[in-house]
Amino acid sequence: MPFWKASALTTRYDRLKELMDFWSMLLATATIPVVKTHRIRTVSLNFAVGLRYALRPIETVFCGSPINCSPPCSSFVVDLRRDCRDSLAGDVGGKDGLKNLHGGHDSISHVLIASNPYRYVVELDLESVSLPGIQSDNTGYDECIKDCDKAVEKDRKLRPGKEQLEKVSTGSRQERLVLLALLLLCTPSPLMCMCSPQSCDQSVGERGLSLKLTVWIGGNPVEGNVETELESLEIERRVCYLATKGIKITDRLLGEESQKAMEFEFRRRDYGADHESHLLPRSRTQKHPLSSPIASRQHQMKTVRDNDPPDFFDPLRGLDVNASAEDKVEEEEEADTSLSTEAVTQELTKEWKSLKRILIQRFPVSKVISFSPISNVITKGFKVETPSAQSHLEETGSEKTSLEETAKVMDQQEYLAKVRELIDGITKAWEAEDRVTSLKLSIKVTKLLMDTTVLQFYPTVFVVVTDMLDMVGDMVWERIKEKAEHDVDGTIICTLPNDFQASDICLEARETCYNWFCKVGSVRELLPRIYLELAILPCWRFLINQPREVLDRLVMMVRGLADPLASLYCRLYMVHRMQKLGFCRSGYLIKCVKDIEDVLAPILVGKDGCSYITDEKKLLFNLMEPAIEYIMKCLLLTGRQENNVLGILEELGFGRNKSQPSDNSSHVSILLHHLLKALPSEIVSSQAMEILHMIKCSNDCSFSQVLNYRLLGNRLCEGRSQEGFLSSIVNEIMQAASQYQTLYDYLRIMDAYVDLLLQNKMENHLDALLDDIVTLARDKFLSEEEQASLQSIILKLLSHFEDLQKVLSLNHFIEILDLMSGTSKKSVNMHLLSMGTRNGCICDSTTVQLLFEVSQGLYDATDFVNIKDDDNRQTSHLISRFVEMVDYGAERERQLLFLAECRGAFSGIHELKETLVRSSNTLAVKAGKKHINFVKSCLAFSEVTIPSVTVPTKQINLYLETAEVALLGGLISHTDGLVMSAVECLEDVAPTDGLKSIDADSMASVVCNLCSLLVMVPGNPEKGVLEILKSIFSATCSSSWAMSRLKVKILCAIISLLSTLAQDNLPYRSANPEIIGNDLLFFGDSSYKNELVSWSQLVVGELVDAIEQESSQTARGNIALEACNCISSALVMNEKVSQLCLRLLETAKGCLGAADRYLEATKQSLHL
Amino acid sequence: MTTVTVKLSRSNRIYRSSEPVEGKIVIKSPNSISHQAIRLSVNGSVNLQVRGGSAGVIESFYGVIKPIQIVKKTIEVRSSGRIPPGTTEIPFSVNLREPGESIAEKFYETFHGTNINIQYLLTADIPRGYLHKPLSATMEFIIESGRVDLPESPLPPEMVIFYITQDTQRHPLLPEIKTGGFRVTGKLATQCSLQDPLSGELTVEASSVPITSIDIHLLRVESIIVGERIVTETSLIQSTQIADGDVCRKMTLPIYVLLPRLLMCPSIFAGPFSVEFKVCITISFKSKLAKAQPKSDPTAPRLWMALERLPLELVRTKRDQFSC
Repeated sequence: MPFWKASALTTRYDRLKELMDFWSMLLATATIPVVKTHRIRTVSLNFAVGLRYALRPIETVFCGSPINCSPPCSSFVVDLRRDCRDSLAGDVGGKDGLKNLHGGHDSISHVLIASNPYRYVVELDLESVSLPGIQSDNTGYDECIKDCDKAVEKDRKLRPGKEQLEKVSTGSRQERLVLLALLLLCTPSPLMCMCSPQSCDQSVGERGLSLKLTVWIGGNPVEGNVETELESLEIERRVCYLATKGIKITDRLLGEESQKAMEFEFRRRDYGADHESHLLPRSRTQKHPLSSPIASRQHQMKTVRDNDPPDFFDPLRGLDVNASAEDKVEEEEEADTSLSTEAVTQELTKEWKSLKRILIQRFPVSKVISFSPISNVITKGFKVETPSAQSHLEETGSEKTSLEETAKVMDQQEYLAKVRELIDGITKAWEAEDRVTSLKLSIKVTKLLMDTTVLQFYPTVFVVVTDMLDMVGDMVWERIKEKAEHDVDGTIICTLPNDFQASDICLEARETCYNWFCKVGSVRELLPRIYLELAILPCWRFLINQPREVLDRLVMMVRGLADPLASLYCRLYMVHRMQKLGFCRSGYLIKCVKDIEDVLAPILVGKDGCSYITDEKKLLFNLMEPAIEYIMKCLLLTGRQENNVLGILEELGFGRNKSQPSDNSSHVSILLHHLLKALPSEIVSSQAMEILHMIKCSNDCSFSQVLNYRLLGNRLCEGRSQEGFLSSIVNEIMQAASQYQTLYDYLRIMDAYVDLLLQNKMENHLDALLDDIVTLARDKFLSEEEQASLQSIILKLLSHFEDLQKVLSLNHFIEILDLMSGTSKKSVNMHLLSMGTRNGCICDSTTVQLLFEVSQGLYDATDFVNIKDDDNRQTSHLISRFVEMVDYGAERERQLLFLAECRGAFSGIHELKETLVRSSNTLAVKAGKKHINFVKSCLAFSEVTIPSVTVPTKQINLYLETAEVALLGGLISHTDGLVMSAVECLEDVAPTDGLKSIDADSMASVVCNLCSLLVMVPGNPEKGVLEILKSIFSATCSSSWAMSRLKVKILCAIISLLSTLAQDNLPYRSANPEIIGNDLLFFGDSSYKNELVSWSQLVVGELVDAIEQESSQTARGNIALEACNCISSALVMNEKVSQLCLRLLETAKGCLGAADRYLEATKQSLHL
Repeated sequence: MTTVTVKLSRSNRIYRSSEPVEGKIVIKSPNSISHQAIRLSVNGSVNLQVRGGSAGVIESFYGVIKPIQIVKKTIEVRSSGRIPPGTTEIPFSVNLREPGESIAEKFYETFHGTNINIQYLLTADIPRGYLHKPLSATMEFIIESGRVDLPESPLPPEMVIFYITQDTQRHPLLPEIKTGGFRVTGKLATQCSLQDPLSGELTVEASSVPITSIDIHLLRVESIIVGERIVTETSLIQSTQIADGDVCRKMTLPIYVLLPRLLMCPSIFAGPFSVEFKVCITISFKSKLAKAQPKSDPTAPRLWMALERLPLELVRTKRDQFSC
């Protein structure tokens, strides 16, 4: 082993041993007589050498902070000094590891471990060294110098740009010495290789030579120096001898390498050139391709708004549209309808559809229903009788049901099926031109609506029956229209325009039409009579132009229905059909609403005069709600269409209070509620006081007053509220709310006003509100509902303020937070957390403390171990994000401490562990090399944390990341440890989690990732350079999770890695310049290359086996080609390799067929 | 198979007595038919009959009373000859009343009642000699009073105001109804054009016992003089419910009944018979007895019902039915 080479590798324990061996050999074979007068005082070579194993006990002696080296790194110093024997002994003792160093080599007790443990000094007594052959004559020396010249010349050719070296060329002794020194530098040892002399500052004195050199190590210029202090020519010769000997030995070794006819040989790669050649041309662009100019978007918005498509109702823009409609009213007064009739009709048609859906969905029916005899149409079944055989009385359906019939029990679905059957009968009869039967069946079906005994079922029946009625109404309409347009013979008389007049209709058609009304009018029972007339209501247009009287009468007729539910639903249908008739005026609707009020009044009061709510009533109001809502909507829409909303309000009793404040005219709350809901927001804003007063007056059991207060608040939020009276409204509301005494009601009401307060910046009121809450909630355990309301208020506050600080500074906010518990607390906490982490880093320590507590609260409230749902995932995500966002800035230790605290506090959150590791890694990188101890503690933290990550792929990834960080910090021993942990983890995965759903694909990519990392990590000769590779290889081969396809992928990666490692220049290296890659470390080391080659042989063998094992044909073909490509790019195409490739191609051909394009392409690239 | 039908020019078959009845006789025949002459006869009569009801046993024994002839005439639409195979349409036009011609009876409007039937028939006869069966077809047409004899429209609104209380009832009531009391008021047009609906309004002002239903019944009263006696038959034509359940108090409910065609006609006071109409308002109260009662005449006085009968005079007005 050549000395210089060896010295470069002394960073390794075993290399050091080799060095020692060399010296002992040298000493043993010394034949030169000791020359006492001339001696080399010192030759110290101070070079920056990235020392590995920084923290391993045995190597502590090598590393540490630099002492006498200009670059800030560990140094290795070889001191050649005389008379140091004495100083050796004392310091060696105690270092266990060093005993191994010179165990058995007494003659080299010249090894000194200086008192400073970071400096490793090898001392040799040159007086005892005698060099052969130099002593006698000068020829040997001259030859030696010639060699030196040659070497320099060669070097100059190989490394252009070093012209300054040529200046020192001629024969003077000093110059030769310089050359000698340069020669030393130029010997092809890795150490020297990485030092390319840049500037050379020579000072050759009487007794010595000193060269100051700037060298490059890993891309960074580093100062170094070579100093020799010479005393005689003899010594000079010895040095020279050493140098030449070194060269010779190297040459011999290289020769041996070339002689070994390798079966495999790695291709030489020029990564720089490859990169250049494959780089796509790039050009700068001015704007981001995804960004669109804001101006055009605004324009787009404008056009959309201008069009105002009536058929498209965007719920998000709905208010806006209304507002603009209202604006238009204000602007142009002559335009009588701001809402076109069609728009209203269309919207109401839509509403009707959704209403039907709501009715069916909202009131699902219990399974079994008992029916009173009225619905015996259903239970009896039906038969179609011949109409002529019946007397008139029977024909009009005034049959009496016999009372003896017992109620039958029937399934709901069965019931509906029978109804549908009946409805089918209607259409069939109609198609068969048997309209009388059709009508009779319709009457029968309609009679079902008379039965309100099963309240919950009523809406469903209503929907089914009204669908039928709509259908019948349409059929009648079509028939009469047909009659009006066509002759008896079918010839067209005229085509009716949409807005035809009654006078356009021929007598015949009108008579038929009137006949229908007569038929329907002869039904005895009121309810079916009304419904059927409503069904054919549009047909009145054939008879009269202004069906005012008809509608007036119908509105009044409904009053005859005493049952509140039946009458309400009947009114609902009436409103719907009025729309169809196209003659819906607010007057009728107001009458309807008033009638509803009259019907509801006695229910509210109850028989004994006091109003209390029973379950039955509750259900009743519940059932009524959708109908009332629809009617109110319809009323307000009509009102807006007529531009008379205020008029409607007046009709309904608004403003009545203004003139007579004593008049306590109360309204039914449920009506008031839906009226308020349907009112345009402008009206709500302008009439807020009125409305508030009405709500105050109406307090009955049909609807909660609290909710009405709430609704007012919500509606006020929608509109542009005038600030003037807003504060007085809020004052009144707060007064009203506090009268409830219970916190729940108070919270529910005020919840609706929080937004209003926030929007209008009414801080005083907000403070008062928070005060009230604290006062009301003091010393109380909050119920679940109260929690929910409080939660809503808090969330509103949170969403209003951008900055968490502002919320925290609100009066009592923390106090109120403490009131919360359970799920609402959790929800609030989540919002707090997400808000806290929204605006970038969290630097304020009190905020961090608060959020930490919040997180802890969240964590305690969640069972992370047993339950895994979305909610938990969100929580853990939030906490992780919080931890990620915390930034203590320069206080790194504190942050690391915080991370440790988090690890302890949130041990159940798996996601967090990743975050912790990444945060600590980030910290380490940020700290940089200056704070190497901190970096170490960060790494230690990561190393401890990673094993608790459960998902193997994540764990390995984290190991690799941390390893990279360690590498960046120059801590090679850490890197090795982490990489080894990753590999162990990989080994563990395979047997235990084989069948678990580990993502094998991602596992494979992790392994590939590991391979790419290994390019940068210097090999560990202590354990064998390819130790890690071997482990990966064996883990892959034995793994149960890796399918053949993935195995091939990994093996290809290994082959690529081997090929890369064999290159003289690695494609990339660690960002830390102190880390030298394997290319330098093992430069010219034939055993290293041999090992690489032999391993590649092994891997290739395994690869071929893995391909054979793949069961799927296509997959096998593809992986064979993949492997072939990999091999061809990694290895020189000698005979063996090409045979191998051909075999693989054969396999691929067998699997994929000869025409496969991948196969073609591969063949082409191989030039086979 | 040869078929003969009489097809009228108007689909509703309504004619005034002053108008000619027009139409065509449609003969469908696969082969040619020879006939002796095609004759069309118009026959209008009032058929009186006493059966059941309030008629006594003896009266019912009399059976059918001799009908009263209103019109009977026969015209020949085609003299004897042959009808070609296929569809042959023979148009006709019959004047019911020749100008200046005096007829024995007034042209009463068509009416189909229980005891009284006023009917107008159009019969086509095709005698075909001895060997063949004569062909014939009959079609009813409806007579409405001609414009000439009608009173001027519109009728003066003749509204009758009625009160129904426990004290107006002539039949016994349940004690709770009697003591609790009730009061229903309203008004009704008692003279009514046949083209118009019967209209009015009704308000329940008070009732201690819950109401189950309020109905409007149309009654017809047919009277026939049989010998020395007048046999009167009252029958229900149509019931119309205007209130279902215990309706709100002091809320006006509309009374609106479309008069059924054919079953009603202008009130007639002829010598041997008369047709009159009545309206009966019934208020049914909630009672257990009502449920136990089997199906029966809804206008009969019951313990749980309050009644009010009002006369109804029906007239035919000049106004067009569907004036716009």
